[in-house]
Amino acid sequence: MSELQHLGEKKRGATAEQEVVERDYTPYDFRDDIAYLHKAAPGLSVDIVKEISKMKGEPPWMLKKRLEGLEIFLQKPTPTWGGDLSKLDYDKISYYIKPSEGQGHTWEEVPDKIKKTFEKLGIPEAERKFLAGAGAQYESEAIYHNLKKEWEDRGVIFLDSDTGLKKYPHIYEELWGTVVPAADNKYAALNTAFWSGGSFVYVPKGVQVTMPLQAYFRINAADMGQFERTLIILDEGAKLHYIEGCTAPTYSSSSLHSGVIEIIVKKNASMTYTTLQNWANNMYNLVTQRAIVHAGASMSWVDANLGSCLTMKYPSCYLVGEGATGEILSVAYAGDGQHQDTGGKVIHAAPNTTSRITSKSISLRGGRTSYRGLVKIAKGATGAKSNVMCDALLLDDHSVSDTYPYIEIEEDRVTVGHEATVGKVGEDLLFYLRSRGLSESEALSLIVLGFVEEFAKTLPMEYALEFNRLIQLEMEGSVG
Amino acid sequence: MSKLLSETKLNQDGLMALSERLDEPAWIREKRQNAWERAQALDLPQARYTQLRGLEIEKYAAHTLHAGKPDLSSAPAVVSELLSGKSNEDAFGVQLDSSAVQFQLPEALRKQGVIFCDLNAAAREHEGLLKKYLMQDLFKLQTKLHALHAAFWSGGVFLYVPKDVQIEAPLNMLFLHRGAHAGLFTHTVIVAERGSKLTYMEENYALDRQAGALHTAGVEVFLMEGAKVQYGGIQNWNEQTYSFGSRRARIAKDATMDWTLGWLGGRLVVAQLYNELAGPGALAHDVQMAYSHNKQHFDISSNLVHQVPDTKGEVRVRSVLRDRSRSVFSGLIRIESGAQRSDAYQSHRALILNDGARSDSSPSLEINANDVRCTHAASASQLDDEKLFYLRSRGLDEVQAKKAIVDGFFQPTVDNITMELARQRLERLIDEKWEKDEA
Repeated sequence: MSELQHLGEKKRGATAEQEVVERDYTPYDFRDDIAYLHKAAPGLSVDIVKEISKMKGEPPWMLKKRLEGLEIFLQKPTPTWGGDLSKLDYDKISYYIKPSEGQGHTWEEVPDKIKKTFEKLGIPEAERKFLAGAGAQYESEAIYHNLKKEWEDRGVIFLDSDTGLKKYPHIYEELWGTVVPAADNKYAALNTAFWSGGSFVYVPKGVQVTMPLQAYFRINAADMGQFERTLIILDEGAKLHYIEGCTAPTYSSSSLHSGVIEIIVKKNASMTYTTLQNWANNMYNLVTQRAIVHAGASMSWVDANLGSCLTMKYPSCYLVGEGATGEILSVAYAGDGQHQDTGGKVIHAAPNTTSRITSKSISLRGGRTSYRGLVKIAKGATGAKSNVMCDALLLDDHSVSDTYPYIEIEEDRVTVGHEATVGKVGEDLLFYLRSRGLSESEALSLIVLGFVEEFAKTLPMEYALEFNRLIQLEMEGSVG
Repeated sequence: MSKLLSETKLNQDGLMALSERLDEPAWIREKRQNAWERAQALDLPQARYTQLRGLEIEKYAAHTLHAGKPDLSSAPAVVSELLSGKSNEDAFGVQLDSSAVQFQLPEALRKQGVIFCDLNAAAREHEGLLKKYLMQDLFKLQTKLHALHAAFWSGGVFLYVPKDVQIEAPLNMLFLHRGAHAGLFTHTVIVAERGSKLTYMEENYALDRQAGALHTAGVEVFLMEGAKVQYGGIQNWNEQTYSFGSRRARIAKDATMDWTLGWLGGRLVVAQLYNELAGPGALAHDVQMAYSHNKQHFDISSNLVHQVPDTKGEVRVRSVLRDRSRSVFSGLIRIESGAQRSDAYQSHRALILNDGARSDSSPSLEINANDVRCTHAASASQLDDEKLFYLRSRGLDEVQAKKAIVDGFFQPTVDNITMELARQRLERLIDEKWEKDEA
């Protein structure tokens, strides 16, 4: 074990030395000059936590939770596994920015400057065409929320978290922080202390939301932490697909995104949560996503990580009811100066639960992808079945791929399997495509798209297009 | 009858007494002293799944010296058979607790320049040769236990096979444990020169089922170009014993290292294996089988480090667990930068016979080159009711049917054992343990 750690440390050292080279972000690289209404003084302190809570007009119990979170954050050591967190300077991060007063209900009410940012990303079109609602978060505050009337009529709630807390304080007091407690990990504690924005979704019993809900998060200011906090509750037999997508302009100094997503999937309900993460290349993305899955229910995390300098993110399913199902599909793409430390976690805590983890990773231009996953079969989870598949593609000889699966079994009547393969792009396939007239970079991007097709298939049309476009953009100039 | 002569403790005084008694060259004494100092600074190993609570190092003797022939009246049958079945034609050694009691090498091999003796004898008689290899850069002081091992090693084995000498018959080593709270720090150095070939089989048995011991095993195997080494290791200590092993091979160009390891005894066993594939064409082959019962805890790790292009490694580990025993497997395939066309395979399979047993598995990959073939797999399965039913319907009773399933589970691994002696011994010991468990 210590040898493994030793090797890990050596490598971390090497990663730290790699220069963070800025990627070509041309289509997304824009920065707006906005007069911020409020910007909290940088650094961590009890005063800032109190200030945030006071400004938001929160109940006293929430302030108490925030302060506990801060305490835990300060006590917990920085993880020594995973990626290199040594360059993350907590004192340089601004913990709360409120870009403008109040919230726009229609697109026209959203300030022009901010609107432009979204237009470049194509959000309004996407909404008009297909999506049920858009909760767009600009900086720390949800700006714009709209839920199609038919869902509202059926009792579906889709609000930003601050409004959710104001309107449904009892639900928040009962459930908030129960799926991901502050003490879970250092960054969940940080989020608990400084959370702002995110979504609150409730789908009533038996209601099936057939079109996906989407929330778009953006970070604009340098050195600004974004701590979105989402709570999703699916009542019995409900169904929902929630999509979260991120892009961010490139800045020179590091920024931090540390979200917490809590999901409760009640009996026979079915939930899919899709993340398309494309933060700028100087962003630390340290996210805790967890779902409690009850009897007969199913939870599916679809997680694509393309951006950030370091992502540490392991969406998890706690299968607590008989026959619950968990699925995690993780796609990671690491280029120059990037480390994607991603994977998934499934805890089988009830009989006849099933899970599947599929990980696809692509490393190129010195990038590093690490799959880190845990499958645990707790005592009493008889008849549990789990399967883990990891595929890694390395496009050149100075990129890195790691696989760290952990399998813990405390029960005998179970079936668990893990498989991983690492390979390179086949010369013959490349040759064939080039003989059909494709350039090398076109051929490569086609192969990569084929490799991650399983992921793209789960996305609604616009997202699949955007994803494919991103991959193609990334692949350009990857040859040579 | 053997008589206990003396015991030294695991402290600075014990270290000085040991080194003086063994009358060692200054450089070895210095190495021991340095290791002892390192031990003070290092912690006990901390692993995700293996806690060392309950291990009281101070309880154990650093060195136990016996006089006379070992008393074999309570020895397991296999030990008596092994000892009585040896002829002058066999190469074998016996160690009781801390010291060698017997070593024999046929004259024909001696004439070819083969060396086979205990490590303390090697320090006296082959000092120059030993100095090149003993705990130089292969063996690593990673934890307190590794450092204590390097400070207090005694007995052990030095096996040297000169260039182009090919030995077909296995060289056998028997490590026996008897004394209560004995410390056994066995260190083995094997050097296979260019084009040589050897088969070495090491077996560990307890003469007493009650007296607990602390055992650390350090093994360093150096394979020069084109050498072939088969290493068989059987561990069957009693269930009061803590056993920690660190086995490392450095495999040069076109050389082949072949491990067959079997884990049956011990209360808590931590066994680490490292293969450094250091030359193109190097091949490492690792087969391990474990059968645990009661509250035994086996923590097995196997690591392949591909340092250069065109190397190949295969790891196959299978564990069968019953009662409240625990199995931990951690494996790492590491492909270093530039090690193109590496080919690596790693698998761990566990069969859990009853509720209460627990298996944790962590097969890892760290890949720094793109033109490679790396696969790994881990699985856990249960005793299949349908298979049991089928076998019973064919006339087997439940005990026989269960055994048939266990045998069937081990079979693919057994098929991969190239060393006949190790295969036979493993099958026999698993059968014996199984019969006792079912009785």
